[in-house]
Amino acid sequence: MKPVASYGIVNADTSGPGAFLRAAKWYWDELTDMFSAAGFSSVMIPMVPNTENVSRNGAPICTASIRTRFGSLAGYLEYLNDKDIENVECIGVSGQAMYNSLFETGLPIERFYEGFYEYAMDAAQALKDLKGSTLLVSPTPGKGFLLQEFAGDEEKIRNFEKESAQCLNKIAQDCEKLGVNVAFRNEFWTTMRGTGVDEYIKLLSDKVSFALDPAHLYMAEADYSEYFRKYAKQSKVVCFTDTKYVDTDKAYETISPEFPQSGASQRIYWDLGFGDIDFTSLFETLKTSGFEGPVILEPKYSLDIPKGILRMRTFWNRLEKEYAAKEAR
Amino acid sequence: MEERNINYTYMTNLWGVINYKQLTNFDEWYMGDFNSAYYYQDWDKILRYFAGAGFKGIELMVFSVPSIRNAFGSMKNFKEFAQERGIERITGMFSHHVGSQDKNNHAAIYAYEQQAIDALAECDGINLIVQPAGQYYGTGPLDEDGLKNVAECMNTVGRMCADKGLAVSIHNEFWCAVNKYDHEKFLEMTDPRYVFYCLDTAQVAIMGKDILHFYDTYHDRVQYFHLKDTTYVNAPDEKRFGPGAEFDEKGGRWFWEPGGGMLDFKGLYELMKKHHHKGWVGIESDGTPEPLATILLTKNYIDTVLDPIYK
Repeated sequence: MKPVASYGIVNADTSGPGAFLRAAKWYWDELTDMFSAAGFSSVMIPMVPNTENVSRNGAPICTASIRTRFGSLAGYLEYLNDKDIENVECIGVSGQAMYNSLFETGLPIERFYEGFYEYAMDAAQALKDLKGSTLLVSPTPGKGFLLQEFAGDEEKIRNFEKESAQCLNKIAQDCEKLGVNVAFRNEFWTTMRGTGVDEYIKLLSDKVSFALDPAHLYMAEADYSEYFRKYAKQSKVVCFTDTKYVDTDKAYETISPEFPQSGASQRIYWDLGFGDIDFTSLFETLKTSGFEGPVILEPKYSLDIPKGILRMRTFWNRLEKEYAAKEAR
Repeated sequence: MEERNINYTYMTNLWGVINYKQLTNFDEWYMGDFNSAYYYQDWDKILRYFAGAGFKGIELMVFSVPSIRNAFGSMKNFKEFAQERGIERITGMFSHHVGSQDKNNHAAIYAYEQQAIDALAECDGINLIVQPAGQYYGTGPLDEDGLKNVAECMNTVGRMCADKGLAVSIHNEFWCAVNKYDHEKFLEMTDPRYVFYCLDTAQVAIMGKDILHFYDTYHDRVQYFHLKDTTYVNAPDEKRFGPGAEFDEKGGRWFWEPGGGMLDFKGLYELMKKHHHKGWVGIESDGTPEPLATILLTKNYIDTVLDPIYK
């Protein structure tokens, strides 16, 4: 298995001292150096759709911002290689990011998946240029946004979800020509959250794999260990995210699922190894299933980035060490 | 309340994107991480920081509207929440007209701006502050038709604002496609009945303009301000016209709290006194690495340097 460090460790849209500086290139220069210093040679980048406003951002937040800062994707790869990062293993695209961009682009919801396809294929082409393997797709916006958009009409939401599957199949078909795998995520706020993944998979071609993520399964009250056993063999990529969050107030169907506005707990993500997920057993499941692909380490929205990166390395080292010790026994 | 000609409002963008209405559980943000994140993520505390420092108004970024609606349900709820914490008025909202040099983009800009105008009106705002075009890089220099289109877009949005009892004002960034060589010309192409000017002191000084001369000349149009300082007056074209010029490649800081740079705020305040300026004056501190320090330094500068000249 290959550990891949995710740029999702940084919440570029958060508040506090230095928040504005996260849009500066130097910040991401340092971040890249820190990943490398912590022994990671591959990264995952979550990307948003290209808009003129975000293209001037110093963060590699979309393909347009990369082209603005580095001239080309090849120029960016050269820059990464110089910092001892070999490739961008995965790029993430998400229905929620697409939905968020509608405020700025004015694209009507009826043309959502037309825009989403373009956004995903642009990212897939970038991924090929950056020597990556897998496009990670979160195919719908949050359930809460869809409830609002469709005034609570569940049938319209189901149809929207079906449309997402058709779009995903088309993306996978065209990605195959690029030599890029497609895997989908089911975050706890998506319409196919938790156990809903079983039905959703029936709508997909065998070109689309399911990217397991224990934290999101846990938050959707699914048995993540069971899902790892069930889907490990088909996986092209796995995401490791940690949490302690119990969704007592149904944040998943609000329009602010990642930032719960009520409840005793309002924090969703924790640095790896600091939440309640039993990664030791998941690591073993993946090993015994013969999974050899990339594992995205995503301590999303860490409160202390340098510390979060070091914790990522410590976390991975410990998993490998514990597994080796068990094997030796 | 003390009788004043001017009151101060603070643009909230120095904090970044504020995602929470109110955090209540200190331990879950502190234990194991041992940092200060709990204090900087919710509107509850951030509004109280502004009010506690003596600021009675705030301005919002248009980008924050979705997250505010997510957290509060409506802009009206947000306004009431702010008032309970000592913020008397949400005075303004920043927006932008990326692509306005091309008429084909105008319909989309108007639709976008209508959302901003409705949101600002819902919280009883005053002034929509608008970057008139996208960044210079990839767009500028604008030809005569392009500039006319940008002005037409601004005039139309000005009328849309007036329909809701709001004003629109030009906020000319140093890296904007409308730039040094057409700055005043552009202002004069807009309709003075509907379009005002928000003088961002640092942006205009970096662009290479004498802010005192500009204000003295156009004081009838300059009804709004973003006070901020800079150490980088009259930046060369290649610095302003480069890709993503606002975010310096090496992390250099363009903007400082008033008094932290080179600008002549005392001179500006003498002119504001001369022209009997009245209303809300905005402070903007985008790019500060330490918002609380900047807010307090700014308030101290107002109290000890600006107020004695004109208030």
